Amino acid sequence: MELFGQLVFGFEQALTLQNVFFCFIGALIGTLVGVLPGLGPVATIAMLLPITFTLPPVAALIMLAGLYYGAQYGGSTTAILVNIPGESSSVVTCLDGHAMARRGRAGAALAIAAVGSFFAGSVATFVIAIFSGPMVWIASTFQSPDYFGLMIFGLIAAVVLAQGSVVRSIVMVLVGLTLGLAGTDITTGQSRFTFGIPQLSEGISFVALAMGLFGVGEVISNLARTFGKPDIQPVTSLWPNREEVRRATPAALRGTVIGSLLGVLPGGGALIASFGAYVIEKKWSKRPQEFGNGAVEGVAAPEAANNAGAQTSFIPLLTLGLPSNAVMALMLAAMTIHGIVPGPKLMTERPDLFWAMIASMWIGNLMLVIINLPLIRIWVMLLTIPYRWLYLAILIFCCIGAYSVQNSTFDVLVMALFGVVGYLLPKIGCEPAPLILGVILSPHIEENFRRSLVVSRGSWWVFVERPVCAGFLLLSLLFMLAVLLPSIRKGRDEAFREE
Amino acid sequence: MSSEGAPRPPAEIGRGWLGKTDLWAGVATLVFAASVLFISADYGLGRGGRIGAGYVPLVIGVLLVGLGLLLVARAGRSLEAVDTNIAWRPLVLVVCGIVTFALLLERAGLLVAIVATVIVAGPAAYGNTLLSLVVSGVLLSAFSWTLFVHFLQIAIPVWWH
Repeated sequence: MELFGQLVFGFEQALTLQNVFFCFIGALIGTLVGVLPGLGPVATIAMLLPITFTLPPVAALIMLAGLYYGAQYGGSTTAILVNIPGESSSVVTCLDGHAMARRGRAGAALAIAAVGSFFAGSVATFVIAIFSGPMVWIASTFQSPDYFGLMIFGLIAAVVLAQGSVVRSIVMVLVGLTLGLAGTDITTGQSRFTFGIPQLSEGISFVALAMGLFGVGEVISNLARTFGKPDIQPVTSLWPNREEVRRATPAALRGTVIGSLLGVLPGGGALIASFGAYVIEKKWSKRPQEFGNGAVEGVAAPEAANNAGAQTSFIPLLTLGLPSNAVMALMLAAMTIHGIVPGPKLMTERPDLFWAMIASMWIGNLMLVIINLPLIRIWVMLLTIPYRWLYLAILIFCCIGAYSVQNSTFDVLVMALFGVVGYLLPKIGCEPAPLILGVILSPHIEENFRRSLVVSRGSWWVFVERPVCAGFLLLSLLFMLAVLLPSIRKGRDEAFREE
Repeated sequence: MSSEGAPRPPAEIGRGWLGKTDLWAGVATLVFAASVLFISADYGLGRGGRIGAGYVPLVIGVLLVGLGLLLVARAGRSLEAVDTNIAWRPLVLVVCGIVTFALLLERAGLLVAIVATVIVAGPAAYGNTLLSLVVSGVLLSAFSWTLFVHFLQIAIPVWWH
């Protein structure tokens, strides 16, 4: 049982008093910010990143994991109690979760969401531990053209599986790739897209960019909406009744399986997992008419699925260095700041970090149950803070966060610029998430593209000759063609319209 | 992907060719592509197997021109309309607030920068009065100092120097 030994090793690394403390603090702050409406996980993590700067790498990673799950989970509380999705993966939880709350079952809905998430998180932790080894082994045979093919496939799949126009999303990816090239080209020493600004010679600060697009952009669009007085449902007994448990258990199991599978896909993760699980529950249910009116399955399945998906989306990041969604792109940036490079070498060169991180995922999930259920009344109080005060705090923390990555006020200005971009892009139907993936993958794609062409002396045939690379590129092409077929396109649009 | 941002409202029908998202997204794409191609024109394409700094920007630029033309071409048949409601007040004030922070931080320090930012960005939301903004600014400064400077010991200028 090598796997078992490695997990124990991971827990030995993670379970120091200091690490558990940071995991707890991370989950606590993550939940606190995640509960607040109108701030998704990307902005939350970017904003809170500075608090991990002064920690040693293992503690920092553990705290980040806590922040991530906290931010992810906090959204469900808001969805159930106030009917405002804290983040888009909680959109489906609003439907039945809030309906349950209106019937006086808010406590039960929260408990089912928390326990279902914990169960799904625990299973997903094992899934990561089991699949990481083989993935790393496969990845170790990859050469530059294969990595190039893999990344192109990752980007295309991410675009195809996400919502919104495929063509416009590919444009966003390409814009992101361009922004990611800004700075000094390592190989030739040429400055690119720096406009003579010295602060740009090392590239655009990723954290400032992410915070601008997701944090500041979101603040502006929230301010444009008028928030009425929130309709907060009172929290009743946290104990679900026997009938609810009987119906929630199999739904949570199905959600866990669906979420774990969808999470690994590029473009997968929490959002697609929760939508997928909800659609399947509704289709298979003997009582489809109850969905939308407070069906327990409609809370248990998507909540389990989004937590499982949030977690298994770490597999491509940790083993291949390939972030599959915007949150993972930010995790990659966060790890890089701490000097950790995710990818096939991480597991062999820093097994302590690798297994500690996996163990910390489980600890983070446990913390969430401990934090969320007993403290639920404190979270409810947070929901009553008016947005006109809240956004000021968000702005200030974003400013401090953007500055503190490399002590640069220029980065604060970069954040302001991308705040405007992040607010305006959706107006012309463009999503900022693919752009972020492009930015973070850009240097890696160019590097592997360049190395491949060195081997082939400039011929593009190298990408077709290597079977692995050709396979990835062919798959990307098939994905693109599939989306152009009317029937598949219709199904894809419907999957995201199940509201 | 896109674990961010709520799904968009259903597409509006009508409003003619000029109001289509695809048209404006396409035009923006073409402008961006042209700038990329123009700026990177003298970066050098490299020789043989050693590609220069301008190679990848050229590939991206050409792809973007193609996609931009595609978007403009299909705009006529598209149903999605541009959202022309721009919340100028929050947009301008929030940006001004952040710029204030950037300009003041290294000159006047964190505490002053926070209070000033809050006062500049505060009127973006209705219901904030000058008094309430001064109070929240002072409270936020105190909180940020305690958290970031005292506990986390992040290197950030605190006071006038």
